[in-house]
Amino acid sequence: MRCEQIKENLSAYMDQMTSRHENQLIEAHLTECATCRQELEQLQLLHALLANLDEPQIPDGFAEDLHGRLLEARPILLQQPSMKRPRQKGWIAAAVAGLALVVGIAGSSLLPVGSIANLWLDDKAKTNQTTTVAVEDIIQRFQQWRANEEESPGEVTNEPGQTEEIPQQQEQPGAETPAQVIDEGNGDQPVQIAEVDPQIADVVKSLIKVDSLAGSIDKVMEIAQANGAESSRSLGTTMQAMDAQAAREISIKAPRDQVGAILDQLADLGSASAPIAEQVELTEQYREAVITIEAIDQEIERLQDQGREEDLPRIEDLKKQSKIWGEKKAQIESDANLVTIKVYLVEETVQP
Amino acid sequence: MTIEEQLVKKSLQGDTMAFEELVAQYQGKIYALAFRYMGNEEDAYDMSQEAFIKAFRSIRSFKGDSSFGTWMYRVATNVCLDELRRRKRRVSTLSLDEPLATKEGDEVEKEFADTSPTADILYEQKEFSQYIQSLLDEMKPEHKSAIVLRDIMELSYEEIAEVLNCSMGTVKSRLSRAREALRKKLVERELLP
Repeated sequence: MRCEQIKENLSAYMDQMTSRHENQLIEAHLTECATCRQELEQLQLLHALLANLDEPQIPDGFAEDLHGRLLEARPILLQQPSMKRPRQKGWIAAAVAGLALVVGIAGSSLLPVGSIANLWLDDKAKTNQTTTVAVEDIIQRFQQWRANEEESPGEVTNEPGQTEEIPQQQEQPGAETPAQVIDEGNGDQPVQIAEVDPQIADVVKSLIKVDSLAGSIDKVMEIAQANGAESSRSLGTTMQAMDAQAAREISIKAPRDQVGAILDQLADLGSASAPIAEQVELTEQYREAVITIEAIDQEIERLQDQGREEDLPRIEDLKKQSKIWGEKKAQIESDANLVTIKVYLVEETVQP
Repeated sequence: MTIEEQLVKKSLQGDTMAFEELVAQYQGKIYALAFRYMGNEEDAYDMSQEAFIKAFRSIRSFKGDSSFGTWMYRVATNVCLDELRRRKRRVSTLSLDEPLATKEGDEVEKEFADTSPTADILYEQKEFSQYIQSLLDEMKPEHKSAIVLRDIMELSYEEIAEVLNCSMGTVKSRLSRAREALRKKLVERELLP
């Protein structure tokens, strides 16, 4: 190795973060090269100087100051909701079934339909079912779901006070219902419970071995766009370095009914393994966002009512936080509404 | 369950006393970390307060994959670097002739940076410390964080990768470049043999 390469590795060598092979090369070089030896010594000295700098002492009263601020922050944390089971068991099972169908179209499915769908079936049905769910039953539910959706697309019910009785319409899938905040309009009571709709994101993973990465990535984009998957802004590409193989992960967010077609076309790109379907439960995160936004907004209102000038920066800060949480909430809604297809393109390179 | 895990669990339920016990364990380190990032006591104080508040508010996102300490370093690092970036943006929009609103700390620092430190300074630990700080303040955030976390706070590469949310390879290369830059400065000033 030349000095340049050695110098790049001296820092890691000093920290014993180089491989045995690298150590051999570096040590061999060091016996011959006085410049690199000196540089290593300087780096070691530099490290020693930095490690021995005086540690600044924390000023008195730090903990007391913090104590007051923690108490202020506490109300938001305390808005812990009581855990409730998601209400819309029916449509979740239908959604799972829907996914099973599209994955099925794409080829061999690894989706453990029975076990996932069964989790969400209502108790009565559960007693009649064994761990497997009849495919016909799933298809029926899926069709029912589609039919319902066509009848009243995206119907949203948001009736404060309806906590005991859940309106029938709420059993419908696909309705992007905003959070049902109980206690709405009752300003004296702190909002404690936010009943939110279950947010489940479907993820389908597909691994495809391709000859050339560069060309394949463009093709994936084309396929996604041609199928009406969300416009390019949702086509986030993430580059991930993997050892030995060049690989790319591409996420496509697509409407449920497009997933099958997209997977089909993707499979033509190379040698595709069977797609794997997963679900990511986002309900808790969603609930947290809803509750936090509510708590922050209440706090803003309270401070504004008091009208003290020294609270203004805090109000500004809270408004910013409210906005951030709002974006988070919208993201979850979007994730739960569309199916995320994760395509892993792997280029198999010949090892030198 | 370790004591720390118990304290985290209680903090999750909004128990401020439990959280304050965690604070007591880490406040010295977090303050020192913030001091190195920010370069003065006042900002270090504010940023470490902010970091603990933020940690308390978002403790639900601590999943226990790393130690609480590492997670806390991460929160504090993000708070400090965000603030530094925010300030940099603000400063860059100002006219060059316009005097910046300086705090006392900044003045002292500037004066110090202008004086050429002599070899004697090496014996004056405090002044040397200030000189190093002035060099750190000039560094890019990613280089600065590598030096601060590794050489000053003495975290492992693995921990640094977690704090900075990057790969070990990135830690290695950033650290190498950052150390090289510092080494050159000190050699120029004849502070390294």
